Amino acid sequence: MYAPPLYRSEDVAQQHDLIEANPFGLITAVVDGRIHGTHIPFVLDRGPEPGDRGRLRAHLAKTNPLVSALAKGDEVMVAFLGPHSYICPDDYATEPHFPTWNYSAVHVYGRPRMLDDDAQRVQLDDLIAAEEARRLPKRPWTLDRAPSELVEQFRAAIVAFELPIAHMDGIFKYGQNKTAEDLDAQIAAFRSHPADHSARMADLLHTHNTAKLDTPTTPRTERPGR
Amino acid sequence: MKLTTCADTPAQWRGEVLALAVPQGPADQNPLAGPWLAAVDAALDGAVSRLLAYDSFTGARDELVTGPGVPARCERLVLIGLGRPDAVTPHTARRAGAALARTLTSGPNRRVALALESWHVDGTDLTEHLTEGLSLAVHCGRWNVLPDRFRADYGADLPREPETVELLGAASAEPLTRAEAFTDALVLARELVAAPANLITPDRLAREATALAAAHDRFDVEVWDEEQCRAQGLTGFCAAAVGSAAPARFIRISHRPATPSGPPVAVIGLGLTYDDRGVARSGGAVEGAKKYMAGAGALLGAATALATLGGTREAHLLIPAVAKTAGPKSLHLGDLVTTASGLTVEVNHPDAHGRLMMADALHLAARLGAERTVGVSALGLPVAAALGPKAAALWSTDDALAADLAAAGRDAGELLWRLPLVDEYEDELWAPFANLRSAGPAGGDGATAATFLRRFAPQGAWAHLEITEPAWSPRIDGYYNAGATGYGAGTLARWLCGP
Repeated sequence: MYAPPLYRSEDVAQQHDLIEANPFGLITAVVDGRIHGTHIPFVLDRGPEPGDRGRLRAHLAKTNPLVSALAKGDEVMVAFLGPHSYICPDDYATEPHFPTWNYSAVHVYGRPRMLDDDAQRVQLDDLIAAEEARRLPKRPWTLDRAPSELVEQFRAAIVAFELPIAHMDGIFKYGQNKTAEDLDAQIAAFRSHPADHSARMADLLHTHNTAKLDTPTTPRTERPGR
Repeated sequence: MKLTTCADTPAQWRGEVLALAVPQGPADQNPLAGPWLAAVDAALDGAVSRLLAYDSFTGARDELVTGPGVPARCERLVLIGLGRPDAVTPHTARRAGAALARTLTSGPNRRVALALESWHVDGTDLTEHLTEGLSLAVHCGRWNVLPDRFRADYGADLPREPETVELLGAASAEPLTRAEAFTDALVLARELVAAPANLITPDRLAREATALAAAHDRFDVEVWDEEQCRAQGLTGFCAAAVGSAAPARFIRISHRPATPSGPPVAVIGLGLTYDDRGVARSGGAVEGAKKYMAGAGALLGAATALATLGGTREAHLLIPAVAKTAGPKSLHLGDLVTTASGLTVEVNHPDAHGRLMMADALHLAARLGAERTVGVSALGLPVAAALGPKAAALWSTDDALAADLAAAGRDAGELLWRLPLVDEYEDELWAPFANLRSAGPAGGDGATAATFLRRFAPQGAWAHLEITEPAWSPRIDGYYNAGATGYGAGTLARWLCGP
């Protein structure tokens, strides 16, 4: 990863935190001489000792071209992206400034190992549990609430793997090169127009399903407040 | 044998054998009533009339007369019937080319020429098809490609290979390049299928594939042994491979054009390099031990054409190869097998191996992102009762793909006949302990086998060709030699090299 020393992170815990907060990673590998990438959610297992790099676990469709590379144990890279945003020169206290992008990311490298059937089930349970935990105090949804036939059908179509983390790079670029005065101005600017992630997700859901959602022939119950 | 075009007229040409291909005229019309043949006859000092004085010749399909030519100009004159112009097809043109080759068994034949009034008959350019039929007949019975030359006596009735064949007045040499590429494809397919199981093992198929791919930049080859297949999750293939008489191999050749158009296609050629039950199924004939790898043979043949002519799409050629024998470790009736796709199969008949191999290959095609997938197998499905020994069964989920394949087959002289996929036959594959069973009732096994394979087909278009019967010819027949015909290679080569 390209990471100037000012932004580079050597802190394993900080990198783990980013992965746990943003577990939807981009896994890439070379398949038949070409780079393939797939976006999938990961479960992070931190090692027992502080400083252990730990391992990732995930699953994907059996028909994903990456499966061949995973089964061979070829080296893969998984990229996790933290919060990121365009930085507008207008929002600094001083002048002149140039536009930039603030972001954080962690790149994980390792050689995957395929998981057996039991471990695949555990991976699914752990992934669901981790995501449900974000929705507490709601009662967590668990896999045994789905019809077992459906679960078996789904499980037959996927493969799970683990990725012992051999190497990890982290970058946290959040204005470390700016003065406090400019940073204060940036923070104030962001506070004044908060990027509402939830609202944006609702917008995206609508944009990508316009045809489905706006078809008058599909009767839909009006939700309160609409 | 060198194939060339030549600007000479039949009157100008000098050589040993001059062949004139003539379409059939209206009923009872003397062929010499046609102005072209009459002019040639005059230029050859009446040699054509002298020939026709002794033989009845109308230009009907498969008709052939031969006799003395003109001293110092051509030793021998051959007249070949093309049939009625509106009934001339690539197949009949090929048979005419083969008929010429079959006259080259004795006498001087170093230089051969073929002339037509027009190389286009009723809108069809016959150049490619006539020369391909001729080349294929010349290659009959010879072991040209594989180094295992174990048959020393080719027999006196086999054509002797001429040094040159000149096509008088043919405009373009491009059809000759195609004809040569397609001939090479069929010849390799024939030899691979005809060679017995002790020579062509799964590993030998893999080595042939590797050698073929290594010689061309645009090819990429990967061979998995059983352990690698297991790691890749090809559990259905591995179940069929357990008990294989020789180590099983899963072969993938990928062809990547410089600028591929559209998503990739996949072709699967089933490679049962030996089938212990095949001999019994073929009524004790030794061909039964050989021809169940006809799909793999056809596909490797087609790969050579792809190497020569190139294709426009990225193509993945998959060959699951197993030498199937009965043994204590091989599949038992009632076995439950999990295939690569996750679907479980109950083995309810002793020939499930081929289907399981196909199932996992289809899964791999999906993993390779194939938008169109074609399977070619000699599974011994009982379709010949209706189609006879010269047509292959075609099933497809996509009309356009079926039409493309049938057109490629027509061009290759291989008749593909589409059979229905009936949804209700899914019920015949219901199994109490698995997602499906390997075979339906014996009477409809062809139809249910196709239904079985469809369950594993990738999303997108899928087609399957069953070529057991036409893969083997009991006797010399047109451009077929006795034995392995290389059937399927022509269709696949044209489809893969096509637009």
